[in-house]
This record gives sequence, C-alpha cells and structure tokens, in this order.
Amino acid sequence: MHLLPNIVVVLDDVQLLRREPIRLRWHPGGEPQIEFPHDFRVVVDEVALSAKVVELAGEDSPELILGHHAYRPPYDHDRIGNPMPQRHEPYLDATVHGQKARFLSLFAIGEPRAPMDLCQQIDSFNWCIGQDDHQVDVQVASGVLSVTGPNGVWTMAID
Amino acid sequence: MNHTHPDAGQIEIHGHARPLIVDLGSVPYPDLNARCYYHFSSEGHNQINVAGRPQRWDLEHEAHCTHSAFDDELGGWWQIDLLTCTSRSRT
Repeated sequence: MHLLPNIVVVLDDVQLLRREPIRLRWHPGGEPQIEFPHDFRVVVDEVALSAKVVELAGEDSPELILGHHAYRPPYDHDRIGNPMPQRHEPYLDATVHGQKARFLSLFAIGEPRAPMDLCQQIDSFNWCIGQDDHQVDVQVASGVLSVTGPNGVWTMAID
Repeated sequence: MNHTHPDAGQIEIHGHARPLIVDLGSVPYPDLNARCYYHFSSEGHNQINVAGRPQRWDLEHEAHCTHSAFDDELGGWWQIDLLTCTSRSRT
C-alpha cells in the first residue's frame, strides 16, 4: 500500500499446513542503521528511509537480523570462468517458526535528520508514522488494513 | 516486478530518485547454475520465504494480483496471491 507522498506499508500473510521457519527479507539500498529490535534506516544521497518490521500473529515479534551476501565456491565465478568480485550487499531478516505469520512493514521516506524511531506502535492494532502535521495512522484490525494520512485514506480487506 | 527471477511479490522503494529498498539486479552468472547465485534466487529478493524453499517461477506457477486500486493523488495498493509459486510440488 502506497500513500502519497512518502509512505509504504506492506502486509505479508502466511498460512502453512505445519510449523516451519518463515522469513521476511528486505534489501536496503545501502548499509543500514539498525535500532533493535524492529527499526532500521538507510540513507542514500541525503534521502532517508525509516522502517519498522513487526510480526503480528505470534506473541513475540522477532528482532531484525543484519546479514551480507557472499558468493560461495563453487558458485563464485561468472559465465566465462572469471572470479566474481564480492559485493556483500546488506539484507535484513525477520524470521519466525510457526504455522502462520503476519509481517507488517512500515516505511517512510524523509530527511536523514528525522528521528530513528519514526514509526511508533500505539497498541496491538495501531501504529503511527511521522510527526505533527504529517502523521500517518496505520491500523490492522477486523479484517482490514487502513492507512490514513493528511491526503486521504486507503483501506483494504485482508482476511 | 519480475525479470525471469523468482521474485514474485517483491517490491522496491525509491524516493527522490534514490534506491532505498532495492532489487540486486543481475550479474553474469552461468545460466546452467543460475539458481545457485543469490542475484537470481529467492535469497536475493525482498520477499517471504518458507523453510528456505525457492520460489517457483515457471509459467504454470505464476503469482496472481487479486485486487488493486490506484489514484493519482493518493497512491495505490495491490494484493498478490503467492500460493501457486510458493507451494511445494507433489513428488
């Protein structure tokens, strides 16, 4: 869900036949700053993305884990046999073990000087993003995801 | 987005023309072992993964957009059903 001008909300719902590890992964556009357990921010050329990732189906939302990719032998050569330079792109994982999961990812594009914890949880069903006149409210309840900001509201059935 | 990678359901986020949540793109991996390189595989994409199983990306197992709405002033939203491309094959 994209609420103009600067908000993105993603809800990932998973239901399985049995308990298995369920992982949500995000690749930031640069090395992220992490405010454990659930928040991160990435700054690219004076543009910042503040984010919060929480899991709603279980009792304890998993903390974000930072990792970096690497080519591993024997799959570290290109198609003509030259060794590939390591890039070590960062990624952030949130993982639960269960039969169901519901990940809520909140993103706000802004300035680097914005506070790290731009996304705040109000209660079990409500979050707010931003401050003052630019606050956006996010609600996940009663089979509906809604995102309400100064310019309007998006509502989507989720069950 | 989809560029013949198993990336159904992935999103990218760009702000002021800057890449903030990204697709890692392609590198010259050998076609025969493409799935062993993270630029190709589900490991290198912004998506849900169950038990490390890769997404299926053939035409018979495509994801489907079930609902969507867009507005020039407000933005947009969409729902994608990934059941087909993430379910286990019968063996």
